[in-house]
Amino acid sequence: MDQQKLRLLESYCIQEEAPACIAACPMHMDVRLLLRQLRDHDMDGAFKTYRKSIPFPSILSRICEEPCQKKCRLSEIGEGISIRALESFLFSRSNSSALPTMLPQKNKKVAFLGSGLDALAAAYDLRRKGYITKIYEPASSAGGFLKNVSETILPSQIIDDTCSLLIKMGIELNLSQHTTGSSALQIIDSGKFKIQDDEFICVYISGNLEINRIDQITRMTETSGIFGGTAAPESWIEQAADGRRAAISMDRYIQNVSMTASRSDEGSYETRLFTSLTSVPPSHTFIRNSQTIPDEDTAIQEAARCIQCTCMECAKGCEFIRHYEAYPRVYLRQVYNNVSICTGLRQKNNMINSCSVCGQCESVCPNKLNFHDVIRETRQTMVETKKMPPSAFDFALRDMIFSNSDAFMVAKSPEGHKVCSFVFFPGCQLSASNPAAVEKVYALLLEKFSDSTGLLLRCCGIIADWAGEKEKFQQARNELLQEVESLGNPELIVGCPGCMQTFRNFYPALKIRSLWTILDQMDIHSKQHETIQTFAIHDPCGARYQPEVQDAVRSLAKKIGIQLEELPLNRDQTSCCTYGGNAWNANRSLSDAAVDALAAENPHDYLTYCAMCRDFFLKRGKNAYHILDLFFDPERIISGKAMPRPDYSMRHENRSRLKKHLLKKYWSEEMNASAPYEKIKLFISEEVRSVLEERMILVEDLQQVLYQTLETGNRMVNAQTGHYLTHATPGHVTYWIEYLPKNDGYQIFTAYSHRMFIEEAN
Amino acid sequence: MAQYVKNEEFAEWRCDKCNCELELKKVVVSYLEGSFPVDLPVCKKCGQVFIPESLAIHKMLEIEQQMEDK
Ligand code: SF4
Ligand code: SF4
Ligand code: SF4
Ligand SMILES: [Zn+2]
Repeated sequence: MDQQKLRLLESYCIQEEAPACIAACPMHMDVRLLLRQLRDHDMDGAFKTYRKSIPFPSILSRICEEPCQKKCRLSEIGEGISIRALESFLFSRSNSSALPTMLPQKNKKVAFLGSGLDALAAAYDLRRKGYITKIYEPASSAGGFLKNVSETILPSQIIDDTCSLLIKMGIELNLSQHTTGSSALQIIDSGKFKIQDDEFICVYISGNLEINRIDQITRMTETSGIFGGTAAPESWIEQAADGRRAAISMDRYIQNVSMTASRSDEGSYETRLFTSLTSVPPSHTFIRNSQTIPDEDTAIQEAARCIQCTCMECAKGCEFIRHYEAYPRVYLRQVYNNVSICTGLRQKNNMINSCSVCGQCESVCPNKLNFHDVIRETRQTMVETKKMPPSAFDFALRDMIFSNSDAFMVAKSPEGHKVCSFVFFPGCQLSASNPAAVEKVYALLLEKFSDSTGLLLRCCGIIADWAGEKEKFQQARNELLQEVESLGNPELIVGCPGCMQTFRNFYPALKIRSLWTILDQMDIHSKQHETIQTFAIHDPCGARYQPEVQDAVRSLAKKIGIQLEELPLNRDQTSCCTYGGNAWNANRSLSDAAVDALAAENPHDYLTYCAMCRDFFLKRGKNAYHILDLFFDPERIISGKAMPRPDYSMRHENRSRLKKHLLKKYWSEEMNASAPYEKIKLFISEEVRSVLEERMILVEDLQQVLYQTLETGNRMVNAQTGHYLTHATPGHVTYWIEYLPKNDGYQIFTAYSHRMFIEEAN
Repeated sequence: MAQYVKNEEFAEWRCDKCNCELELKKVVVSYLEGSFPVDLPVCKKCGQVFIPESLAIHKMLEIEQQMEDK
């Protein structure tokens, strides 16, 4: 990802855009913050927020037309927040005579002809920037058209008080200057202006003057150095904003910097922020009379109606996005910086490796920001530059190596056929979770579908892609393609939605079909059973954008008597169980939290059609079924008994046994002799087994270590317990095992591992 | 030099091969591009190293993770 791509992607995430109210306010007062502060009883904070953007709180809290209220998103389903009334409440309890902070005085003079609200606002801003500021007003009091506002809405005392404040700030207010219309202005050759005996660098002419050619962005007239005129005589708040706009230009003019650069966000505009109102109930304002100041309770109640507009659609289903407490726009930059950094800590490695690469965020994002591909590519870069933490995906990758080794891999046409027109591809994890179902499906396919259905057991390779291992993925892919070719290019009947998606994305030439569509069409349970149980259906992330698969499973479920409830995010928008992206391997606590959050979305047991989703739910104590668990064993629908969840070691064993059974049953073949270490018999209690699971240590790791060390005799002995302790490093990891010989094998008391290499003397 | 193992953590263990006690000695451990010396219990005779469970699952894991992010 280069800078340019980063910028483009960042622009898709609109989470940082202003809410509608702030965008509508010509002064861009931080309405959302003010309302939050008020809601949280932080009155001083709320007033500070108001004061920060609004020059004359006493005046504007009375006469602002509150365009923010009209644009408030709540107005679409009820009434917008009565923001101005809350402003007047805040003003009423504040110390109104406090002076604003000001920069030290500069030796530069600016003049104002006339004292309408626009001029007062500009004068206030420029004085705060340190300019010597003088106002010349023909009338005997300041304020221009402000004085026409009815006394009940804006008492003249308030205008007078504001003028006193301006004078206290050091603004020179010259009233009754009958000789100083715009005609009194002399332009001196050197680009300066003369009024009476004073010289000024620039001048502002107040009010709705007949100045035809005023630049709408800078508010400078045709004559350099002369600014002014409001474009919106009918709106007070816009007059103030015009004054502010002119003040910014005058300051830049004096400093001789660009007056036009980056001004696109000034004035009212339509925001790009997306905020969903789907679960927001309509509400109505608590402010009954907008001309009286609300009491504190009413003000707080009204502020609490604000929904604090934000996008965060992607956080609704994704624990990853919630966990790191920001949103993709921020994450994109963090990912970019993490990869570009040359020395120092790569603090975001773990973050990058914790995403499930599941694509949910893209599917729910109003701008379809594709974040998961950024993560995939970043992981690829980390692997290429040798910056991928070896521990992140090692365990997952070893599982793929196992699946694509002789321990599991099979590619066969039915006995007596050289080639086949169909081949059953159950996927590695369904075979690991429920090998019996795989056997039954295969038998069914042979019997009812086509007796020329072959068998292809292996991993589709996605684990390597998730790990950023491009080459390993290509290798797995090529092997699979060769096997399919050797079987005569049959159509694949795929039993895993994740594999389906992998084939769709990366194997466009393969002919594929989902197992569920076939099962659904077979009409095994053709008689519509009476509904006997309700489950909530969880679509696996692999089924995203595969409506025919999503539909087939729903139809199947119905046929076996299951009534389904939908989760809040389902089908194309479904959440991942964190098996995706190997996230469970890189960040186990985040994985647990994600599964827990997903499990809590519906009180019913879950029905899913990915083996890993089922096992992740079961691991966290949520009752869950794979559709095949119920299809072949409808008793479970009534008993409510889920299948047992195999641990990591069992997942290997299940796959090997499955291969052994199927080879024997359909081809009368014996499986190749297993490695000698596998003959070592181990006795492991349930308790120790769960420690091994937690530490991701497999039974076969222990067998290998014992096999190596029993020969050398390298071991320690404990004087108290008599236990032996031995260690070896069969691959990248060193394993330690505490054990005792027992009968014809060994009892294991504990085992632990580390990746650090110990340089031993021997 | 870092010392992570206390004497009582290996007092009960001896090298089974040499039937010999263990003593703390400088051992070099390495991971990825870094290596550094630590005091670890080893067999006085053959030098076989002993890593206690608590060291492996806490401190070593922590250091490994730090080094992986360098
Ligand atoms: S859904 Fe997420 S990524 Fe998309 S705009 Fe909203 S916050 Fe940004
Ligand atoms: S609900 Fe709150 S944040 Fe959203 S537009 Fe209205 S005032 Fe602004
Ligand atoms: S886990 Fe899925 S939804 Fe969450 S950030 Fe990664 S790709 Fe997006
Ligand atoms: Zn020894």
